[in-house]
Amino acid sequence: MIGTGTLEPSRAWSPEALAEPYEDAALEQAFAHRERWALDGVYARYHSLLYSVAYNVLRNADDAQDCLHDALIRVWTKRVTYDVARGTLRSFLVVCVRNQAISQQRIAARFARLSQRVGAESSDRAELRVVDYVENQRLYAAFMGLPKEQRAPLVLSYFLGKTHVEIARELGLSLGTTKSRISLGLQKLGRVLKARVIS
Amino acid sequence: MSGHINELAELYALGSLEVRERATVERHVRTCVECANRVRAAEETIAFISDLQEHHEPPQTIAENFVARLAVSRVAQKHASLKVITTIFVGGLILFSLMPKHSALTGARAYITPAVVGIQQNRRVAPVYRRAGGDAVRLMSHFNLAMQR
Repeated sequence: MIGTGTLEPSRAWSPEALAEPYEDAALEQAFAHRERWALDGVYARYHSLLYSVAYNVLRNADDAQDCLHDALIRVWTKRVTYDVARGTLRSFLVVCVRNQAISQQRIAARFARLSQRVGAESSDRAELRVVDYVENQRLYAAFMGLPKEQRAPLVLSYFLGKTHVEIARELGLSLGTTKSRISLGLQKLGRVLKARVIS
Repeated sequence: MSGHINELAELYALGSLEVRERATVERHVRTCVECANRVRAAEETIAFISDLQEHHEPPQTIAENFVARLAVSRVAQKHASLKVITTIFVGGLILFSLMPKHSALTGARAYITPAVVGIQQNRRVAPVYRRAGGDAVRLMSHFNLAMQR
C-alpha cells in the first residue's frame, strides 16, 4: 500500500503488485473514501491508460509521466474529489489527467507555436487536421461523420485543448454558437461511438 | 446558478472552460442531478475517445518514479502545514502586540510586545518561517524572557 490522503508510502511497487486484480465497484468505493489500498489499485489498473491519455495530448514521455503523477496526487490529496454517484472512476480519471495535460500544454512553449500555426489556418484546414491526430479508423470515421460546422470547433477543443473563447476567436464565431457547436458535436460523437460498441 | 448549465457540461468535460466557469459548473453539479448526469455522459464520451486513440506504453520505471513523487509530496504537504501554523501564530502575536492600550488583555500585551520586538531585533523572523517546529520553541523562550523582565 502506498498511501492515504496524507501520502504515506509504505511498500515498494513490484510488477506483481501492479498486476493485482481489483474489483471495479470496490475500487471506486475505496477510492472515494480514500482507503489506504485504493491508490495502489487505481495506479495498478489505470496507469497505462492514463499515461497514454497524457501522452496523446503532450507528445512527450517525461511530460506525460509528470502530468499523470501530478493529476493523481491532486485527486488523492482532495483538491479534486471523486464521488461514486458522478460516474465511473475510469472516466473521471481520464478527464482529470486530460485536463491536467491540457493545462500543462497551455503553459508550454510548444503549445504557443502550435497555436500560431493553427491560428493562421482557416477552419477548413482545422477540420482536415483530424487525420493528423486520429490513427484509429473508427474514431476517424466518427469525427468525419459530424456536421462540418461542429467538427472544426470540436477538433480544436479536443485535440488542441483550446478554450471556447479561443475557438470562437479563431473561427470568427460568437461565443454562444461556439459553445453549442462543441456541445452538440460531442453529444453526437458519444452517441455514434456508443452505438458502434453496442452493434 | 439558476436553471441548468446546459452546453457548459460538454465544455467542462473537454477542459474548454475558463477557470471561473469551471468552478461554476463544479458548484452546480453538486446539487443538480440532471446536469451531473450530463457531465458524466460527456466524460464517458471523452474516455471512449481516449480508448480509441493511439496507445503508448509507459516507461518501465514509472511506478518507482511515482513512489518517489509521493514521498516528495508528503514532505511538501508537511512543510506547508507547518508554515500555515507558524504564519497564523506569528501573525496572531503581531496583531496582539498592536492591540489598544485599554484592552482587557493589556496586561498580556505588556509581555508579548517585547517578545515580538526581541524576535525582530534578533532577525529571527525569517528562520521562524523556514524551520517552523524549532522556531516555535524559540518563540516560546522569548515569551519566557519577556515574562521574567
